[in-house]
Amino acid sequence: MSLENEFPESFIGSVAAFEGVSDGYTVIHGPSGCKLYPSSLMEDCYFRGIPEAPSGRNPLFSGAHYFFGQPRVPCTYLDMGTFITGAPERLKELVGFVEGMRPKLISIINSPGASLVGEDLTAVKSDIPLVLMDHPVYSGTEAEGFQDGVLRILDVVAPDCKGPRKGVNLTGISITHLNWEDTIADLTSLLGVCGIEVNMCIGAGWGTDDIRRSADAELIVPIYPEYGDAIAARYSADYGVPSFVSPDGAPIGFDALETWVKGVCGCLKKDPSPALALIHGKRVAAAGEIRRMEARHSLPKGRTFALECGGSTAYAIARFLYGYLGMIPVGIRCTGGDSWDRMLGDYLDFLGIPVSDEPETVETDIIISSGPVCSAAVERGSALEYAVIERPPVRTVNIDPAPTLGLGGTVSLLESVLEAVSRHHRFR
Amino acid sequence: MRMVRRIAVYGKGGIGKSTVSSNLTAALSDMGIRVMQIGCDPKHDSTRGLMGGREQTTVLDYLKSVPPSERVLSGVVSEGYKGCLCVEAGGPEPGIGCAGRGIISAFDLLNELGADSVGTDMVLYDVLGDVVCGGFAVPMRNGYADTVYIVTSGEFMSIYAANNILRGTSNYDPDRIGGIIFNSRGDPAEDDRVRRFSEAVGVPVVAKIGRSEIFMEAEKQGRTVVEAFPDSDVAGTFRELAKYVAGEKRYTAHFLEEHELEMLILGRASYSNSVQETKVVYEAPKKRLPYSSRNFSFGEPLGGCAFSGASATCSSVRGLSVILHSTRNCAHFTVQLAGLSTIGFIKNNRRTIPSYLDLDIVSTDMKESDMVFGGNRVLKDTLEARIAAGAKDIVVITGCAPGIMGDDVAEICTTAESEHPGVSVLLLAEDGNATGDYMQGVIDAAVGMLGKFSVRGSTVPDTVNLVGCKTMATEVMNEIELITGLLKEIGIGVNCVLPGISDMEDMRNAPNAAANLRMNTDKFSEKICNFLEDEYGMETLPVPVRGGLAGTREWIGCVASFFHKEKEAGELLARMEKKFGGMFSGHRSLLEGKRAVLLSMTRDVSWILEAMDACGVELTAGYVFNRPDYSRDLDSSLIPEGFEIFSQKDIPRVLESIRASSPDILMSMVPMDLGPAVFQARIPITAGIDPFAGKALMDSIARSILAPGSEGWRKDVAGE
Repeated sequence: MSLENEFPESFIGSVAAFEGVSDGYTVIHGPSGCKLYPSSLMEDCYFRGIPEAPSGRNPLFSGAHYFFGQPRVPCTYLDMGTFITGAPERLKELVGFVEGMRPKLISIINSPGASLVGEDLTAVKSDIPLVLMDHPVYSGTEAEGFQDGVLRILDVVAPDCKGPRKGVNLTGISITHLNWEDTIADLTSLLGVCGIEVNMCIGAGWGTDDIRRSADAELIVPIYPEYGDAIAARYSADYGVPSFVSPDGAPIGFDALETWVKGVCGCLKKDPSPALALIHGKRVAAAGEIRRMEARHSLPKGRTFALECGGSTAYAIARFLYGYLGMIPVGIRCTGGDSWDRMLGDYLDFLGIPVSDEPETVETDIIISSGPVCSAAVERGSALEYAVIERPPVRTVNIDPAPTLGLGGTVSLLESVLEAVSRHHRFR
Repeated sequence: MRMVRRIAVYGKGGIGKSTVSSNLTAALSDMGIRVMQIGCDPKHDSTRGLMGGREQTTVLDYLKSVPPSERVLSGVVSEGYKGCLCVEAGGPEPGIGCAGRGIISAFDLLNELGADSVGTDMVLYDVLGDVVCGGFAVPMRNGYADTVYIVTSGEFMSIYAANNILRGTSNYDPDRIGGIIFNSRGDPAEDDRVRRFSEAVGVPVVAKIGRSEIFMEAEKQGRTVVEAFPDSDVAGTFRELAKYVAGEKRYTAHFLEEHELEMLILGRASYSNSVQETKVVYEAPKKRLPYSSRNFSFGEPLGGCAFSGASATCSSVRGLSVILHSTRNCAHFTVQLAGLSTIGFIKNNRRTIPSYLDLDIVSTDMKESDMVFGGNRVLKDTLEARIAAGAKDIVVITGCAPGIMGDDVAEICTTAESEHPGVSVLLLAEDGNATGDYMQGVIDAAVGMLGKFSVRGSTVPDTVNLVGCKTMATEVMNEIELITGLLKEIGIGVNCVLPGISDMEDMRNAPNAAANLRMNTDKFSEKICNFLEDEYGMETLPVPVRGGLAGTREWIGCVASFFHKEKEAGELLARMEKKFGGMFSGHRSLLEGKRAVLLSMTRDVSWILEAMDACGVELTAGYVFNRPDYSRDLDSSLIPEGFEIFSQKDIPRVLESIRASSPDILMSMVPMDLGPAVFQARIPITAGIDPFAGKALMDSIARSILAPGSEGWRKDVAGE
């Protein structure tokens, strides 16, 4: 049995890149079967409401044609007949409708079927800039599709390089990453105490004005490296903006976070001490809690965890839980980021720890993954507890920020893990 | 920056495009112009005359055999006559895959490998025949060819193709026609036909190539005429043509309608007119589509795709191994449906469909090369792997891609069955949404599974099949449990849950229930029952399960009558009515005399009306929103008298009407923009099937009456 097709993939990645533009609007040229899930996901990830309905989402205003009751990402509802004849007029009509909503950028993406028959998106004209993706990657990773989408946006709305270079631009995070806005805010805050201003996050929540000034940064910093390496390379090649990619993967776990902060500060010749002091404060607090657990003879050392998430996150979390808490990985699967996956494999080989590639079925104290994977493992009884770090989440209401990465994300993960091992006895 | 000219040479298959193209490239090369000629024909012989007769690796073969990290431009570009560069796009084997898709993939790879930056002055695309599909039209799209030349002879079909090429060009940027290249077949009447066509479309004949045996002789030598016979008249013609091509003169594409073309070239009216006047002497019987979804039957925009409906349904059956022959995104979207169901366990303490916890589902993850060369191989491999892993009952469901490319899925499934005795492979050739919408896929899955795996045996007395359980409904497991419990109270058992949420053993025994009980009034459950009636002679109870006391009374009465369980049913209903009678006394003291508007997306609102009546709430207006993807399924007879059916365009008027009537309560499936003075109670988009479904609604309304009209948080909303 394979659950590999549970992973988010490249089509969703590209749609997320387009929907990550705050004043943009995305259209799928394809069947409604290719839009219902992406529309629902995008609305959920980045809620913007609809102008016609002051109270927010309202399916009555998003009719059956094109929108199918969903305010974001309408489609041309192609069927086999229109696959044969093409449907340029329908696409033009829909784009005309979208123009009336006054976005500053319209992105149009062919569904796999539409790209297969060679539907021509250039037939659409508009006074609003159009990003056209007539051939999205088939069966690629979400990260590939995401970066492909961001690069297409840069092809159309090119940065103007007018301003002086200052601050950093984060990138390498998609609106489909769990609580992306809180993660950006957490990392922005850490850099802020070191005197580093974050201008924007390329690819998630930026607007067309941001895109135009996006090459005016001193440094580009990918958050999830596999979601930002190609974007960073483009800014370096076309605009001469350097980047910093942390060798420890995504910034989660005390050591990886410190590496990330020191790396960024090092590039900009800033003192990382204020951020490191904040991290140290949480380290001390965490150590106090763990010491109390030791007194109760319930240390996490030797307890087990299973992971299913992106490569750079898995790499960082596995090292954190192993190195900091002494927990043992029993099942790991990476949903992308091949190079991080390989590095993690090498690390585990070096430690001599055999790890299953089916985290959802292996017996473990805690599973760390998306809501459905966690839920299935807990209901199945293979995991005693869970921590959700990827979409879809279990909790959908967060009044306080709930970053997935950064200092907040590290503490949150640590709390979930310690809570889990405190609540349950060893699995076997 | 160096400006590269890009020209495309189009024409009907076999008309001599490759000969014209390669001679033109040779003549341009003689002029010192560096040309890259790209043959866009699966037979990949466009550039052979420029390369001494040698074949070269096509781009698509290269794509297939060399891993991405090892690909280099020199693997697909060869140097030919006087330094010209030669590329052959290639294509799949005849009858397999998609040649048009191949062109797109080849161009993508060339771009990726930097073909644009090798220092050519001109790129010449030699493109197969007519404009048959989007893939072959790529070279004429903006960004590729800036000038299009059309090769034609004087034969009608050749001119017909030329006209189609003009039509195709006019769909993009029409001002890009370089001219007509007349490749004569030697028929004296040809000249006049080509002249007339040229004048009619306003595009000049820029060269006439006469018939000559030196073409054959040059081909034998693996050379162009320009190279092999440089002093010949033919070579001279190509040199003149090369000078013309270098000159960049362009015309606008005008094309003729078919009847105009036939009149012009053949001197007669189009047959299409006469066909309209022909008396129909035989009308084929209309194909019966007995198991069609409502969405598909009415020709409405398809909501979701059959692939997804079939996948969600089949994967909910334990013991059935599901293979999705599709790209990964199709599989991912479908599996997410199961994932969202699964997450309900820790999110809402909701029971999960058991098979969704251990999905036995794989995708063939079709990639770029599968799109070009066909997905037969990857499907065969996946099928063999599943069989090797022990799968006995397998379903293969196809997405858009294999349908568009014409993968031979049926043959692969049949072969697998014959080579592996004991293995059953059901094919659901949904081809994405070719067969219809999501619900059509659900029906197809049910019909397919029941037809393939079920066996008629002895009827199991006092049992029913529950037909129409929805895998996507969050309460589905609770609903199955509720109805099973009520049936048990009158001595009736459940034989099988359909269309999914069962296991293979139940599926095999499905025809052996004494009757089918529909779990809702939707069309899809009716169609599945129709199949069971047609195929296995089963009976379906005429009244489906419905919520509310009246609805429950009706369906339980029907079951009892069929199974002669009137006594047991009478006792059960008496208990329910007693419970219902005492259920709303507290509510009545708070709600009596309150005025309410009901705005529903389903037509079955009796469960709400009976609860309102029990609480003394006055209905001032009732509306049913007529959205085909929600409400046309349902029986219009369920709509109470006086309710207005409205559609999207009526929303402002309906809103105004509601505002004007100043109700105390609006019961609606979505929040309306009415302000906090009107309490808005949420009603579900689909009707519940609980006998006491109205109580929870009335609970929420009664409590809201005790709450402040405008809650404190509203003051804190930014901008309000």
